[in-house]
Amino acid sequence: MPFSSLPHTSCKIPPSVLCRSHLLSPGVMPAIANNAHPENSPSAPDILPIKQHLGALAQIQPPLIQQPLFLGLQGVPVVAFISAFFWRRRKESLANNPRLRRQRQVAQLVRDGLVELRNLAAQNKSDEFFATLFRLLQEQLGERLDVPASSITEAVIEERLRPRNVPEATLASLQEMFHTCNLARYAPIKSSQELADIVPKLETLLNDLRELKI
Amino acid sequence: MTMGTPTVIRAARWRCRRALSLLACFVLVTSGFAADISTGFDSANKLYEQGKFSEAASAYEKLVESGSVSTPLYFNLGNAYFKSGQLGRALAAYHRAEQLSPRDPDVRANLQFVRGQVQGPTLAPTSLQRWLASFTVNEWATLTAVLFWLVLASLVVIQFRPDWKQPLRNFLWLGAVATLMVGTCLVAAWLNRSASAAIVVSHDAVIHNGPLDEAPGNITIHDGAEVTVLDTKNDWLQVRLDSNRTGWLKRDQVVLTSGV
Repeated sequence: MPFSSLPHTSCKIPPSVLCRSHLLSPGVMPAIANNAHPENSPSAPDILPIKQHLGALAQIQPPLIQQPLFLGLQGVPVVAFISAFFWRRRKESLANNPRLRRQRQVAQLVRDGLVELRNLAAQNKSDEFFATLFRLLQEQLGERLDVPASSITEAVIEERLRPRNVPEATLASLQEMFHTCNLARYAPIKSSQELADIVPKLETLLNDLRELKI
Repeated sequence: MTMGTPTVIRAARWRCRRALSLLACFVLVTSGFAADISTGFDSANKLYEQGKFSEAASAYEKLVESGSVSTPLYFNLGNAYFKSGQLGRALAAYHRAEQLSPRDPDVRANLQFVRGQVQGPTLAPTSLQRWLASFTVNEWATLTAVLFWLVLASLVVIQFRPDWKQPLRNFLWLGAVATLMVGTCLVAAWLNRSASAAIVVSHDAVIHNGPLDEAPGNITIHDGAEVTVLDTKNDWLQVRLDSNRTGWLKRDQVVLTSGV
């Protein structure tokens, strides 16, 4: 029934209610339409009839802002932002500190190199094994002494390490490692087991060198 | 390793089958449960259409007690209570329907209509409260969360791509302000919803001067009257009718609702 044709004069509710309802939304108009109320006359305003479909069911539960899962989820972007912030700060500090950058690069190189050495030992590739070993020694010493890796030879032991009070045991191990490399050039070690035995010694030596306060 | 692989695959398959079985059980149980509710709803609707409004209201109430609700369920419950002459309970049901679907014109129409029938104080919302209540608290919370995530995602992107800082600057400011504003609306909507209110459900309720049966009562309010709850003491509620009048009502004469 159109709103304009409603019998306002016979309405049981105050006109103000009708007007207010009408202003709420267009859907309010049928609120004063006829309904099958047994007691009312056919033209009396009434509530809207019942719904025939149940609609989407929802569980009775507290609102989202009281649910720990929802609140916890809001921490995810915060954690992501804090992580990204510190990642950028670290990246910037590395970019501004070449020594630190080299230190990290060499540490990675040594980690990869030790794995490579084990593989070469297993494959009994003596020449490649000692070439890699010598390169790792050069990289680690070069980083410690802050000189190019290619400039490192056995001579640095006497020229640069001994004057800096490096422990004698470390120097002896280093010297032995250089000797082994030199010997291998003329008399390659054939046994895979012998090559594999060198790796732990080198690992210990590199750790000692990394911890040196030069 | 070669002996272990088939065992691992078998275990993974078993876990997969178990998960699927659990999912199937869940779907069966929930669909069966939904079918039960739907049947109950149809039965209650039939009772209503036969003019058995009190029985229909009881049937709808049983469905509500099952824990699963919907706007039409509360709407029909409100209608059943209204037709059986229980204005207060009808109002409470429409309030709950409105909390689920604040923009449903039918719910608002019936709520408004029933309010118009009530003699005595009502808690008609202000225009600001009405605007805040045009979204559910969950909708406000979701909107706030989306904006919050967008702002922080932009901040994360800037960490990886510092050259995007300038183009994203305006978006960031706007996003931050919008998040604050919507967050404020969320808090206001939540406070509005949490405000203690009560609807009288007994035919006549006497407002006493104190929380005792012997305390004199000088005001009587009727079914459907809406009051603000100030305090509780044992089985009594201290209520405010308007800015000048307060008193104590028995707890069993009202239904507690959240804000208007």
